[in-house]
Amino acid sequence: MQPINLRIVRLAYWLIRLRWYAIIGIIIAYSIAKYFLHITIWKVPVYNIVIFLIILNAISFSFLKYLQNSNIRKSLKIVNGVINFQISTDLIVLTILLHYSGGVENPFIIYYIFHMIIGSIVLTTKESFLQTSFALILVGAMTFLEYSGVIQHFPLEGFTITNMYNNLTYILCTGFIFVSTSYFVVYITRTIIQESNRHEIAYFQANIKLKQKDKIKNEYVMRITHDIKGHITAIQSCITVLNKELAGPLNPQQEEFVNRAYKRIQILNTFISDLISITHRKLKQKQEKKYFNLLNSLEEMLKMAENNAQDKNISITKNIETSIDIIYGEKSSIEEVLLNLIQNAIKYSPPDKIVAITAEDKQDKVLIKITDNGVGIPEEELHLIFNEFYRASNVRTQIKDGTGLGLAISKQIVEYHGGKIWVDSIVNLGTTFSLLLKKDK
Amino acid sequence: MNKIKILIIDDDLDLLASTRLFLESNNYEVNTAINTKIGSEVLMIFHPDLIILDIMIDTNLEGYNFLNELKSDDILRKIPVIVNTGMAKSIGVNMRAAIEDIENLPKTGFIDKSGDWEELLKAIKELL
Repeated sequence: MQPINLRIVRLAYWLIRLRWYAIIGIIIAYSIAKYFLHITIWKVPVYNIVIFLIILNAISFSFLKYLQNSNIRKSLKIVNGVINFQISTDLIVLTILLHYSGGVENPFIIYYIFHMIIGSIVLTTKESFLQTSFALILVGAMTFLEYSGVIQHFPLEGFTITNMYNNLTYILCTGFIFVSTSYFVVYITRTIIQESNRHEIAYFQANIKLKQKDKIKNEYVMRITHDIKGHITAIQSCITVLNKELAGPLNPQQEEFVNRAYKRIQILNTFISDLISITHRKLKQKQEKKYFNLLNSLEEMLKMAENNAQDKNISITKNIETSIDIIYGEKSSIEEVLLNLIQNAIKYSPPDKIVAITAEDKQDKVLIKITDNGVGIPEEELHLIFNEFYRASNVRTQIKDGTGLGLAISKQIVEYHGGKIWVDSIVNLGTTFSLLLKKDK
Repeated sequence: MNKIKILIIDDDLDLLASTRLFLESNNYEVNTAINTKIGSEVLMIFHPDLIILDIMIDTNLEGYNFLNELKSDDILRKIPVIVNTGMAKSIGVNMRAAIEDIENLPKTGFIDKSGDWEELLKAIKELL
């Protein structure tokens, strides 16, 4: 949706708000003039106008609210009409107020310019100039009718000399300046507004283009990684043939190098799979969330990691509150996060140590913590650990496998679910990954 | 003793060669085809007990079309097929749902082209 359209509605509400301030302003100005400065002003018209403005503003407000809840397309035209009507009404009201409080003697005559500026912000260029001309006609009519005696002049006794309204030279000269100022003001304001609009549209379009480019980039990465994966799979299968000695026995040296190649190709395979996974997640628009049993997922992921734990003689302790059962989210993604954290804990633990998993029921959320007694993460790198491909400095040389993508993917998934993931760690003592998940939508 | 006959249809020659060697070492009799046309011909002569099909062979639709043809033949449709996909696990494409459009396709297994042969062996044993 074009940002300009929503703007009109916003501006309509702004106008109404300004009018409330104007009403208060009229009351204050009148009170100060009458009771502090002892200037003669007939109170009846002022009272009537204030009441009229209050009613008009209240009606406009409710009408706007009513429009907001109805069919959008036609409403915008109506809103535009309402704004035009309000501004014209404002100008008429101002003219009447001025007429009953001194006409050209009243310095508040400058407030026409206010209306013209506000109108220029809220209306189109054509409408701005039309309303301005309307204002000038109104004030011109009031001035000349009072000058020619057709209507009564209400002087502001006690404020200034009261026969300016009779002084043709004064009227014509100030009139000319007033007219020229008005049109200049409208022109300048419109130029500024149009410039601002142009920027807003350009920014909006640039944003759309950026999103499209990102999508194209992701699709490109998908295609390429898919092709790469094909080659890797083929290489892996050929190496496996050698590794399993299906093409004949290997001498120890051949076996060594085939083994090296085999390990590296496995790492590459996992790496590319992770890359495909993370890119695909970025591409997908809608994912399927539903209610699933978190307890079962935890148990399943623990079972899947059992072999790795047993290989290193690591025991996994569980402390899971039984009140935890169903949460809302993507089952496979959450399980991926859990498995990643559990496997990380095992991977970065020395043999014979303990990995502890706790899950606490926090009413509307679930807090899961996975603690290991392993190598830990240096404090200055804690905030970097969730970056894509980041590998902490104290494990880079030790542990060769793994992609560096696991935590980045996990963070993406958790944030997509509106949850939080963070890490606490002390080098050589251990690390705790904490996972906070919402139970409901 | 009659060995179980497997036909592998895949456009990757290296994959064909290595998978063939692997399966033969597991006592299967293996034949290969690099496209679905040759696959159909070999099918007629070789009479495999199981087919391993690369679903995205040549183009995105080729494997799917081949599967369709298999189904339309009364005798051929009984042969179990393992559908090999490039990306099932990574992107979670629901290949099963896409393929189950084809009615009455008996015994279809799905594996990811990950080079994990243990999984392949398991799938073969399950389908036969």
